[in-house]
Amino acid sequence: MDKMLSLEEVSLHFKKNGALFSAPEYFTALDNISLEVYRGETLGVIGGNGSGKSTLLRVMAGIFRPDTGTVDAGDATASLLALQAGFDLNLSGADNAVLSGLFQGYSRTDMEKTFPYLEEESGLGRFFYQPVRTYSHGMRARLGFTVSILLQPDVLLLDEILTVGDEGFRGKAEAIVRDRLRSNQTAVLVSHSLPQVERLCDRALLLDQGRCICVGDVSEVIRAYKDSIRL
Amino acid sequence: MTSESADLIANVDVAIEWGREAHRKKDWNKALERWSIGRTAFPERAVFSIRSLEALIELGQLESATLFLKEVQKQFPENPETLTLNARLCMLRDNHGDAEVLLKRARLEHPNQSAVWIQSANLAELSGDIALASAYFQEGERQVASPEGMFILHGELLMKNELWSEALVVWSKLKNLCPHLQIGHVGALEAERASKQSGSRRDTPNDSELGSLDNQSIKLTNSSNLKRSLAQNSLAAFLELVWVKALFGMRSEIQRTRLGYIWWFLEPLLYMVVYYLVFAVLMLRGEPDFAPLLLSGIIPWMWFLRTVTAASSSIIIGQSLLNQTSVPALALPVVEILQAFMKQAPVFLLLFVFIIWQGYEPSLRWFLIIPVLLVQLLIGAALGLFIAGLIPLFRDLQRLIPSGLTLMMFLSGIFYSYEMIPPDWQSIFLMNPMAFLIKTYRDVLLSTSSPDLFLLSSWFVIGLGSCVLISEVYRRFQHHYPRWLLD
Repeated sequence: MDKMLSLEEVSLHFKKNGALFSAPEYFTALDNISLEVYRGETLGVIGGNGSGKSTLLRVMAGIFRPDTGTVDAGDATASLLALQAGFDLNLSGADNAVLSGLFQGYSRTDMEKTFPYLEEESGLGRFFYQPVRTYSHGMRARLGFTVSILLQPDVLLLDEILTVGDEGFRGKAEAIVRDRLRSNQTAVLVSHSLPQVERLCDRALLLDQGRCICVGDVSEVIRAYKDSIRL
Repeated sequence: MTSESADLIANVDVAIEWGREAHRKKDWNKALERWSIGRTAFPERAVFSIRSLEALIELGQLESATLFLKEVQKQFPENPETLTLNARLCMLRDNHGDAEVLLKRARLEHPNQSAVWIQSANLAELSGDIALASAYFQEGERQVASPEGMFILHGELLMKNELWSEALVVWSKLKNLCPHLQIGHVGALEAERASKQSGSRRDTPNDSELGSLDNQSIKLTNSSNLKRSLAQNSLAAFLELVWVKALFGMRSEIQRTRLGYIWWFLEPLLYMVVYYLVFAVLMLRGEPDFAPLLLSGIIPWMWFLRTVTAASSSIIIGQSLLNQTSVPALALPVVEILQAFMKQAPVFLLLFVFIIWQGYEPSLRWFLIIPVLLVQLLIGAALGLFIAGLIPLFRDLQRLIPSGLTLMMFLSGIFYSYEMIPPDWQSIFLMNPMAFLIKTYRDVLLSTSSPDLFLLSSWFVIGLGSCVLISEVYRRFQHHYPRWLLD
C-alpha cells in the first residue's frame, strides 16, 4: 500500500517545571513510536488521558518537532481539523473563514470563492455575514466545522472533534466526516469513544504513556485497550 | 357497532389497515372513529390507543387528548409514542421547554423510533432552526429501520425552506433506497431544477453537475473548488497572512464602536488635547514652542510604546493558534507591528496639521520624515520581535516590560529637549535610539538643527540588520515555539 506519512522512532519529551533554581524534570510524551499511515485509510488512535494521543497528532501535523526520530510526509500536507482556531468574535463568519484559510496557506481570494458554498453548507444563511459574537454555540461550531472540513489537507488529523456542538450537529458532523473518510481521504482520528473508532476506522493504534502498545485490526486493538483498563 | 364493522375487525391486521387508511388520508374524524372501534375490540393492543390519541391531537381536541394521554400512559407505560405525543401536545401549547425535555429522553431511550426524530425535527423547525431539524432527520435516517417516511418529510422541509442542494441529497438517497417510490424521483427533479435556477443567482459552483452525481460526492465536488494559490510556507503566503490578519484586526477593533474608523483620528486627537492643556496651558511652561516640542516627542513615543507592548505579548496571546495550525510564530508579532504602524498614519497627519497651525512653515525638509519613520519602524519592530520571541522562554520578562518602557520614556527626552542635559552626557543620552529619533523628528519638523543623517543611516542599518537576524532566528526555532508555550 501507498504510504502517506511515516514516523520512525519518534520520541518527544516535555519539560515539567521551569523554575530557575530547580533542575528541570522531563516527562516523555512519545516514546520511540514508529508507524505508517497509508493512502485512503482511517487510523484510529485510542488510549487513556495523557497517553500522548494529541501530541502524536501534533507531531504528524508538523506543529511539534520530535526530539529524536523522523516524520516523513513527503509532499503531502497534514493538518489538524482546527475548529474555530483563531476565531475573532467581532468579525463576520466570512472574515473568519478567510482567516482560517490563511492559517492553512490559502489566499484571501481562494477563500472568497467558497463563500456561497460555506453559507449554504454551514446552514448559517445570511448570518454568515454577521459578527460571530451574535452566533449561538451551535452556530459557531457549525461554522468552524464547515470551514475546517473545506480546507482539506492530504492527511486529515481529527482530535476529538466530533464531541463539539449540540446533539443534532454532532450527528451531522459525524455523517460528513464519515462521507469524507469513505471517500479516498486519509485520516487519523483521536477519540475517546470506542464505538466511534469502531464505526469510522480501518485500523487502530493503542497508546499508553507515550508507547505504542499495539497497532492493527480495530476490534483487536479495542479489546486490548479494554483489557488494559480492567487491570 | 354496526354488523359491517364487526365483521371487519374480526382480524387485528384488517382493523389496523382500516384505521391506517383513514389516517393516511388525514381524515381525522373517520380515523378516530375507526381506531376507537379497534380499541374496544383489542384493548390490549397499544396501536389503537396510540393512534386514537394522535387523531385526537390532530383534531385539535387538546383537553380530551391530555386526559386520554394519562390513561394510555397508565396502560402502556413503556410505549415510546406516549413520550413523543406528549411532546407534540406540549408544542401545540407553545410549551417548547417541556417538549424538548421529553424528546431528549425519547432520543436517548428510543433512538430507533422514527416518531422520536420526526417530532424532534418538528420542534426544531418550530424554533426556527432548520439546520437542526435537518440534522435530526439525518440522525433518524441512520438509526431507524425503515426511514422512507422520514426521508420524505426531510425532503419536504428542505424544499419548503429553499435549501435545494440539501433537498437534492435527501431525495437522491430516497431514490437509491426505495426506487419504487415516485416521490423520490419527483423531488430530486424539482430540487435540481430549483437549485439550477437559484444557482445562477447565487453562483453556486457545479450545481449543474449535481444531478449526475450520487449524494456522497456532492460535498466533495463542491469543496474541491478550493485550490491553494499560494505555496505553503512561502514568503507570499506569509505576507498575505500578515497583511489580511492586520487588516481584519483593525476591522475587529472598531467593529463594536459606533463611530468606527473616526476613532483613529479622535483618539490621538484627544490625547493631544490633554497633553496640550496640561503641559502647555495649565502648567504654563514659559516658552511658546513647548507644545510642538512636546507633541513631536509624545506622538512618536506612543507609536513606539504601542508597537513594543502589542508585539511582545502577541505570541502568548496567540498560543492556541500556534498549537493547532502551522502558522509561524513570527507572524503574530509582525501583525501587531503592522497594525500599530497603520494606526499611526492618521496621527502623524494630525501632528503636521498642529505644527502648521502653530506657525511653522512646511518645507522640503519635511520629506526627511519618511526615512525617520522608517528607521523608527525598524527599531520598534526589532525590539518588539526580540522581546516577543523571548517571553515564551522567560515569562518573567513580561513583568519587566512596563517598567522598562517607562524608564526608556523618561530617558528619551519627550518632555524636554536633549539640550537641557549637561553637554558631557548628551552624546551618551543620544545613544538611546528613541532619544535620537525624537531629536531627529524635532530637527526635521521644527527646524531646530540639521538632522544627523549619518547616524540616521547607521540606525537604519542596525534596525534592518536586527530585524533580518531576529526573523531568521524565529524561522530556525519555528517548531520549538508550540512546545515552549506548553512547557
